Amino acid sequence: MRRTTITPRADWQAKVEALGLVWHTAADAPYWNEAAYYSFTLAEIDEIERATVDLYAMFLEAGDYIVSRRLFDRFGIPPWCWPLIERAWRDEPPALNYGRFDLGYDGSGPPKLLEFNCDTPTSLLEAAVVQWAWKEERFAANDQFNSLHDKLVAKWRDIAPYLRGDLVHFGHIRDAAGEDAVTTAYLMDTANAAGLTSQSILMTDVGWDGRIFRDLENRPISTLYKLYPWEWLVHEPFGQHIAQDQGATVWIEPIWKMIWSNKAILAVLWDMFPRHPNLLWASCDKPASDSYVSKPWLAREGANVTVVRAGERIAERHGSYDGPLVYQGLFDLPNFDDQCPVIGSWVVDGAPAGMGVREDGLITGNLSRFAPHVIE
Amino acid sequence: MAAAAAVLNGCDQNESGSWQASTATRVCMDGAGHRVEDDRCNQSVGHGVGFYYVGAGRTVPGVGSPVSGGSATPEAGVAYTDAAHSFSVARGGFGGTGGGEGGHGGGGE
Repeated sequence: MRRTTITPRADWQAKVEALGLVWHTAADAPYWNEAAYYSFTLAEIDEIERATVDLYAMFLEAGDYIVSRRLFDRFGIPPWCWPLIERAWRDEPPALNYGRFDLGYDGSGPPKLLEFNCDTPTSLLEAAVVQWAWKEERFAANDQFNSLHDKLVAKWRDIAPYLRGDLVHFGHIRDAAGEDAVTTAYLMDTANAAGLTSQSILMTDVGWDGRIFRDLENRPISTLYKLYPWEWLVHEPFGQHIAQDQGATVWIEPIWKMIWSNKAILAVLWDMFPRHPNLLWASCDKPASDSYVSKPWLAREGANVTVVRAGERIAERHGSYDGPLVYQGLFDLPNFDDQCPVIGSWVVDGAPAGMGVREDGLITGNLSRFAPHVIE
Repeated sequence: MAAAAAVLNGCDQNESGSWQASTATRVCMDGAGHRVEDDRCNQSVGHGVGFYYVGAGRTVPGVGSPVSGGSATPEAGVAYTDAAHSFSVARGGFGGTGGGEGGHGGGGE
């Protein structure tokens, strides 16, 4: 695994914007960083891919364990959600079944799971499209661990026959950076490529008529992809209506993702698979060790994550999340030119689909920079 | 029929009360200008009962209430839904967490 600096393409901003990446620069520093790239050997890619397969299998087992024993209150999930989660886990309603495993990896040992983001993962456009176009232009002869776009389109094609009609709504909200609109627009493209018809909708515009959800034209919403987390939805005024529409709206991703997207699952995984090579120790109880990372169960983008080494807080990312914490072993991210990369290994339909590299300081947040990669 | 329509059309209104329709709606009224059960128009329009047409966004009167805000004549080019299948839509019940518009996005983990 290597990091190499390179001169960005002269017109890189226009090129990435043309692909849809319109928030490429944040706070005066480029979010898409093509002044450097990572190289991996095929053996390293194989190792990351194998770890992804193994981790996914462990999450399936952990899900079975949690659902069969109804351990939902350990995750802080409201009781009215429990029957919905049980039913969805059992019945497997249509879904992309996608997600991004964030892995600590430096090429010298097995990849370690930092967390699994599978409800509203982002950096999807960069990983699926932008880094591929960069590679084709700069390193046409090299390969890249990336079949994300094709797999997303294929998955929409797979589930289309199970949806009511071919109109899929894509729910999101307006965030300051415009990132959500970009990610949503990309997913709409993948659905359109599969022959579906997509319709964007702000979550604030989703209507409830007493029986079913409707869009701004009062059309019933049969399928709602959401770039909006379950843990927010279920606490909002319309949350409980989700349980009242008798399944009229299919939600993508389904509500069972609430289990996997809650960081408390890291402690369950360590309980079930202690000392697994791809896991860091994790517990909901404060450890005796004086080196660890603490994260709120439901925090996002690194908010409120604290890194403690030898009893000293060496990094802390502020935010507004509170609530119960999970504690995890500290993984020393590799340092390449003072950049610490985290591997984002994607799954679609539960299978490995490619990866992206994000680099930052010790805690990867939403201003971390995406850097492309090639396979040597 | 009217009671079923009221239940279908939202939990924030009285069972026999009026509500605001999102779509153009027609109801049944008697000769005295009061709303009656929709069934009566289905059986015998012209025998003392007739349709009353209310535009989208207007208030649909409850059964027993005097009709107003609409007309006994439908507006040309407007498709009216029977009250039983008409509905009123509330919005704004999702999307408020995270500081709302311009704040933190819903995506990103």
